[in-house]
Amino acid sequence: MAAAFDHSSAGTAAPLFSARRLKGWLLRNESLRGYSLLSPTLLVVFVLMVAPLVAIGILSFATQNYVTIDYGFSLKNYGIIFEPSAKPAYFLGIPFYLQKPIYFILLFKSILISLAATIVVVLLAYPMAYFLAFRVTKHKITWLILITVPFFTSYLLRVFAWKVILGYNGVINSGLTSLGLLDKPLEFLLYSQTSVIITLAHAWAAVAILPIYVSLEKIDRSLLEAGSDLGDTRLRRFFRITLPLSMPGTIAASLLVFIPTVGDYITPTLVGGTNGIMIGNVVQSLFGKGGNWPMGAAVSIVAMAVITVLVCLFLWGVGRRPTSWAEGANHRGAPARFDLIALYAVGYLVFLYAPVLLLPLFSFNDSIYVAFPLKGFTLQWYAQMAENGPLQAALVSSLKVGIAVSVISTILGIFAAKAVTRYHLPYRGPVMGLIMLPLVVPSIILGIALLTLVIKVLGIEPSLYTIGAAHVLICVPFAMLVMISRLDGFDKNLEEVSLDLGEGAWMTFWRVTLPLAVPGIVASMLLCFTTSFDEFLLAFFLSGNEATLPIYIWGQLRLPTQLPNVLALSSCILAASFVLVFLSERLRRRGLATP
Amino acid sequence: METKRDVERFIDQIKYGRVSRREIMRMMAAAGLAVAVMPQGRLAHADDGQPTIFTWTGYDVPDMWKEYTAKYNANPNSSIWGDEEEAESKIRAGFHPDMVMPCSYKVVKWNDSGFLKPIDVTRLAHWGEIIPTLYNVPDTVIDGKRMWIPMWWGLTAPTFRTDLAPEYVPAEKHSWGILWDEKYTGKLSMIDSLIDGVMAAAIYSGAKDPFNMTDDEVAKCKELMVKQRPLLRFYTNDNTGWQQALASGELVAADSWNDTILNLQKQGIPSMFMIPKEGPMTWTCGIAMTTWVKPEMEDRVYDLINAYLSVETGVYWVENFGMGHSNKGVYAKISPEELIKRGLTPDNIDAYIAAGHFQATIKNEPALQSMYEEVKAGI
Repeated sequence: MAAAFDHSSAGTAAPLFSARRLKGWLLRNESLRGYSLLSPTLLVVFVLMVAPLVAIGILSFATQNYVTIDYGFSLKNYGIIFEPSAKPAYFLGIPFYLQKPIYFILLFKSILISLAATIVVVLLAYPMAYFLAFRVTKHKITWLILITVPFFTSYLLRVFAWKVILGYNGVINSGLTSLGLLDKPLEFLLYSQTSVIITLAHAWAAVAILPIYVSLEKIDRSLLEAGSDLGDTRLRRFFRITLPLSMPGTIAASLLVFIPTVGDYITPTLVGGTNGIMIGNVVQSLFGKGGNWPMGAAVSIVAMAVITVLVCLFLWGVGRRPTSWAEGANHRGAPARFDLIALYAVGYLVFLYAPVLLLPLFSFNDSIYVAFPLKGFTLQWYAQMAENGPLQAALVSSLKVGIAVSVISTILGIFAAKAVTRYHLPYRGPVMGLIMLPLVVPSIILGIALLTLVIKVLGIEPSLYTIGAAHVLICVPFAMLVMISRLDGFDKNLEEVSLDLGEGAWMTFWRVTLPLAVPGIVASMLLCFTTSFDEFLLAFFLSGNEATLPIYIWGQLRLPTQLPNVLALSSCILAASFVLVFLSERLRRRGLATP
Repeated sequence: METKRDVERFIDQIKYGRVSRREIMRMMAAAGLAVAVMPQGRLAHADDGQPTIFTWTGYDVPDMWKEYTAKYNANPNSSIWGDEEEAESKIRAGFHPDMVMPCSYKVVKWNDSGFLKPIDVTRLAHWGEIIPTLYNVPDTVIDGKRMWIPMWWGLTAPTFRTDLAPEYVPAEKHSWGILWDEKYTGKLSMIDSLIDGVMAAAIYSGAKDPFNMTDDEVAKCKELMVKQRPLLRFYTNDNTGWQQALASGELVAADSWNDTILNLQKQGIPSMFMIPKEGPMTWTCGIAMTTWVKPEMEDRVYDLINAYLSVETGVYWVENFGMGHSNKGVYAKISPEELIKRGLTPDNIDAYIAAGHFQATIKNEPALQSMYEEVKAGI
């Protein structure tokens, strides 16, 4: 390092261009160092995301006739989507003047449902995140883990559990009927758009809570004190200080929920009833029974474009890239008070756990049907599960992939976040947009594109490694967002101090940045692990001979006799998670040096 | 950590909280490294010496290829699909199994896509035992070459609750019309697919050949489906789902397969599988060999196909899945009551199968699918 600053040639005029000066410039140029820090992440995104997307783009300009695809350039597919017609088709009273209105109508409908679901999720999640950040003083990480534990059971099973709660003979209906408040079961609870929104609100709760929590957590408490001292009531203080400062996290949460739910087709298929079709179903059908891959590609591109435009409008409307004025994370926890927020938190936990706790209930039920009334107590499903080889193999595969993915994604996310927050990067906006791109693409498109890439272009057989790569692709944006929220606020001076006092860059990172970022890291790892452990669609496309747990469960859901085994397994997973949480708490309290 | 004392000291340190964060980190890193370099245990790796089956979920259990295991003392590899379209996507994107199990109406398309290879039935020991009608399933012998072997069959027709819809109990009242009965609005369901859902509407609409409809017939069929949509609770592919709904009374009638009645009656629910007067649909699914089978693997693949056709597998099949098996020897081994419970008839199986509309390749699938999407979306 010293050689770069050799001033031995100071006496004579230094040549304008020399190796030494170039090397010095390279080492000092901030953008270059920033980008080199960002490069692993960018590489992953580029290979796994951009290349398949380009393939989809090319495909959208092709045409398909029965089974052969003609790659000659043609705008036929876009023509069909956009072709105008004099006779309008109506949806919610809005006329669509298109020859084939189904695509735009469904896109519009999907966006509306997603918006509704996003608003519900974020509104419900915010008070919970507030409770976690402000009211919880001890064992914060335990609480975080408790929030994510319900999501370790498979997404498919949770949807199933909601069917049990909302169903015809379900918990709500049987409960209200037996109390005499109803004489006929409520039918609108299930197989309606209401049920889609409720199920989505539950499914995305963790994804919404974590970014908001991370954002609230680093608000400097002295700002709030200042607000009170200057005369604000608690409510005004919330609206004028807390809410604006938590905007980055809230925006991140909204985007993280809105964008994937637009393309989701599994939830509306399972609980949406006859009114439940969304744009994802149409895309899936075009790639499947509809037998028109180029058309499917074209519809996906149009859908992605519309979503991107909406997101850009949203971000422009709320004032762009998350910046925060709060410095440092200085909190003295408020004394635990019993108030509305605590009550809400309890209620929210009930909401989170209710569907999930139904699973153990039915795993002891002596019947293959998951419906009330309960038939009797039995342990046979657990016995069967212990002998079920494929089930255990699937569980092990899922664990392997999940842990690997969460570690790799968090590392990539940390690098990316550090690059974005600590260095001045030109074109930061587009680069961040690129990294977030995997979230905008409907999973089914991503799955097919990746499969084509893996097999046709790279020539690798699908396996757990390909599933892992796909999961890293979708988890890196989550990790990056969470880490940015965390790294963004705290005092850069701390790192400068450390460097001044003689630590190298790496040790500064290890001893100063990392410990302060630990809540973010834990949140990121939890989020990534949950996402990967639960992810079904990409795993399904990219799996070879070894199934992951969601794939296995999907298969078993169609075989009524095997279903209780799956419930038994989920109950065991839940139990194991609780044990882990308990153990980790004891370890912490055993007087380890504070991390 | 070499002596017992070291170990004891280590445990004491942990117990009394005297281990610093750095030491913990060091230990965890060492443990992680150890795990990473540990030789792989006995995992189920894909065995290159065995053929790969690609089939429906649940049909890749060892009980089905007992003859194969007896001969080769090994299990074939297997991969599963949820429905044939997913399978097509995967195969088209490059996954190359040795054996696939499509239903008869997919054979033409898969053959045209270049997936299939003709099968030489002289190499199948159990071929002579197949139920006669099944030798002539439409669209499975292409250009004189047999591309597909029938393995299992069943019927698609409405199952309904006899206590909630008693007027449909007498045999002469059996009709697809129950699924259009406005008396049971909100308590009906259809299978969410072209072949089991739209074709049912096509049969009810009176089309001469439901699998080859003219444009007028398609329009009439669409009208019927549009009329039906507000009466339905859901469109579904979830066997478990409609069975549970029938069991709880949420549904009065459902478009279903003949195994539904087996599970319902096991639970003691009063229900019946109707044979509608317009004709039920008979479907057959079976086995095909892919073009990617290597010559040295061919013998094994034939043995595997043979194993699936055996009586032993057939009995397992009928008893567990409630659907028919193509080997006629199976029915002698199962008691008539058990057969009736599964909606199968113990006497002339042949005539039973022949009485329904045999599911065939649907003409103009993409256009029909597009129409179906519009109906479902409510346009």
